Amino acid sequence: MATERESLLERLNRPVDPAGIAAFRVAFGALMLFAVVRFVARGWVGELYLEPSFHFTYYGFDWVRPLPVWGMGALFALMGLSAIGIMFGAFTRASALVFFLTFGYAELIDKSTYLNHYYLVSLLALLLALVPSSASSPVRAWAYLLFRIQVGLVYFYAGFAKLNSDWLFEAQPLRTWLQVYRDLPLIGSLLGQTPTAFAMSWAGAAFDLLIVPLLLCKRSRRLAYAAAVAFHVSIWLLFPVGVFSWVMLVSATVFFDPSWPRRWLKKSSIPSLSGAGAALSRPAAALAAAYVALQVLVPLRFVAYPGAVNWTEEAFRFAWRVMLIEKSGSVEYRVVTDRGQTLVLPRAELTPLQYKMMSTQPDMIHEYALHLAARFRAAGHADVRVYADAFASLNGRPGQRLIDPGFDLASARRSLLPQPFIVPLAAPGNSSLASAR
Amino acid sequence: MKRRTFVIGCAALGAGAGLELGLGCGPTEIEDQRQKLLTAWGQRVLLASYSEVETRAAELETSAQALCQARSAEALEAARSAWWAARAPWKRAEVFAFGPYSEEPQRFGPKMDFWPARPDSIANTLNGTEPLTAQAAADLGAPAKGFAAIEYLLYQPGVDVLTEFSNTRRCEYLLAISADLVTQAAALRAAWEPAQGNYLGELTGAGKTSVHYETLQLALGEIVNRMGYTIEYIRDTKLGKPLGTNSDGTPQPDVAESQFSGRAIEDIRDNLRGIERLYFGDGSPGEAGLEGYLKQRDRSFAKEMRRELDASFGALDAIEPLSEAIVSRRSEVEAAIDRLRSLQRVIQVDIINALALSVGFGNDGD
Repeated sequence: MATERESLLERLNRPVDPAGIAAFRVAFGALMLFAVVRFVARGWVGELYLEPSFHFTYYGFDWVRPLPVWGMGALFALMGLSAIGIMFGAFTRASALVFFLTFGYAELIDKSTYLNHYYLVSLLALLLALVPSSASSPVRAWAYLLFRIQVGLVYFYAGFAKLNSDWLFEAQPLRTWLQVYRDLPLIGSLLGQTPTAFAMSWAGAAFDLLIVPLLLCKRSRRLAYAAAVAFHVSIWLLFPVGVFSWVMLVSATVFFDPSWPRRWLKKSSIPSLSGAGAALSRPAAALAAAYVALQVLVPLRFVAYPGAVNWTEEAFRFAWRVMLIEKSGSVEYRVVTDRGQTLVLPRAELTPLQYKMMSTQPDMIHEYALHLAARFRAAGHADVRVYADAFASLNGRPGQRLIDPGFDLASARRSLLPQPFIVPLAAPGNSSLASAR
Repeated sequence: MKRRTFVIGCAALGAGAGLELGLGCGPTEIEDQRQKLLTAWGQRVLLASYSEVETRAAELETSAQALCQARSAEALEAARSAWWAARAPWKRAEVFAFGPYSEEPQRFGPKMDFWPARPDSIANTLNGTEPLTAQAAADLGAPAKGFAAIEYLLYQPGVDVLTEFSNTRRCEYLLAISADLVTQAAALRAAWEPAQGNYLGELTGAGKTSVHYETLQLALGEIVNRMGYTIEYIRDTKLGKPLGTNSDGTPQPDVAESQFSGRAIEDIRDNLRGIERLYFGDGSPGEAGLEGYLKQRDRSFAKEMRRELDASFGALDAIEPLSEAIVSRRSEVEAAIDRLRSLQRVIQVDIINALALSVGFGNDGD
């Protein structure tokens, strides 16, 4: 047994050509620099972080607040500079750590800005901070393995999450989204057809589930990457996914043979191997195993929550549930105090993005209810109770109640446990509490 | 090497073709149904309504002149009728309360319809001595002119209005702000007219020439979402605030719209008629409204919209006049607010979902 463990450790510590990981690092850095510049140029720092008077925080991260204008400017400047550092391999691991911290801080400010690919970017930056990725620093097999597991899990869970009745048997939400392109010349009538939506849904699920083994297999790698290019470019063309497609195409290169860049670049442009790189000690191996276990288990946490995860959105984030739902909602609050009752329309108090996100996500509806309760208490009201009149529609279903209208949201503390105030997704034809006016 | 070149070539060709198809740069231009719908709404609802406002505002000005030339109960009634009639197209177009309506430097909305009326501001102008020229009317603050100020002059409570018009200053004031209303209405229509300000082009040219809307989907989403916002505004501001929902239940009749003329509920009916028109179209073959667009996508909410609109009109009938209902029939006002919530929900939850029209902002998604 001990020999087998030694053997595994030896295999993990086998020296590997650093060229592949260096190429990934250069492309990742360049992409992140572009993403940061684009984010700032579009005015999103002000729109998302500085202008809102209220921010939806992550549980346990209430302390992450927007910095003053100069502070946010400095944060994004540091983010951009560290992306340059990653790209050029200047203080690579320190640059990656700075990028991870600054990017992570910005993302933690407001839950309404959560995107799966932002989460992936954070994790990849963290890995770059831990793993040698300079072309002149030889790396060992464990470094590649960590990246491959990370990116592989994204694809696997994205495919796994698509194995649901909406996706497979209703072709939703693709059927709704593709209607948007019905009037396009040449391909519009094709995209608007239901069979097309079904074909694309099934192909999408198959792609996510199969792309990693196909990229790992040398014989199928070229064709698989060509399919990945076609898949991600199509998504980029059809849907507003920002840099998501490019992050995935860059990430997919970690499945290539480690020396793949040498076939495309002049031999002199990448130093040849020298030394053996950082060996993985047993404690480090245990730490890496713990990281991997966390990445495997976090997306699986939905099994601990009742109800349809795409409806309750409990265990939805950090689980690679990508492009699975078209959800719209409408929410308003009834605040009852010792002085009477007040109707609060959150749309008037939040940004359009915040309202869009909170109107369909129970934990955010709850968080805003707690904010209202605190506000009314601070204004001298007593016996404050907050009720939500919240309706939502998921993937073309008729709208139904999302939150129990008789539940005092102010009485429930924030928690990661299953929440009792969420009205379950109604089965077809069932319209009791779900559709009650 | 040859094989690799072939693969790269195919990938590049595929990506290029996809790019061309995806961006809709095909050889023949097919009219996008969203653009067609936005154009129909712009021409047949928005511009038609604003044009009617302009015409009826001119009729109001004429009747105000007649009242001031020969003061009589009939002339006063004619002026009131003209004011009432001008409100109808104005309120029907309320979904379009954005762009030139609300944005600086134009902001025609407040200049034409700042409410609730501020009797103090109106009294200050009435008691002033400066000449009420066209320029003076243009320079007046929003609370001292527009529909609400004219309404106050024609319906002022607690006085004999006809007798009050023996004061020439009141007549000068009425004529000045009536003329200004015509001017503002014409300017608002011109701001949207394709041949003039062409704000309509912002919607119909979305994705091409528009500055505000990157895609037709966003432009369509703007209008459909505003249908929902208009109902929310009715519930919260036009009914809720007078009922006292934000003032511990104490009725607030002085924050109601059209409170002097008793047109508050009719204003809301006109708001709903505007939404009804946008949804169901005008019945002509080329304009089937949002329902027609939904049907093209194998969806329909005609039954739900008809049911909720009819129920909402019925609930509004039960709270006429609003000034009395907020005091003596509060539960019926609350019922109307709830009823309108159901209508709002059909739009904001069901229709928005069916068409993927949620408005966030131009951020990314995944």
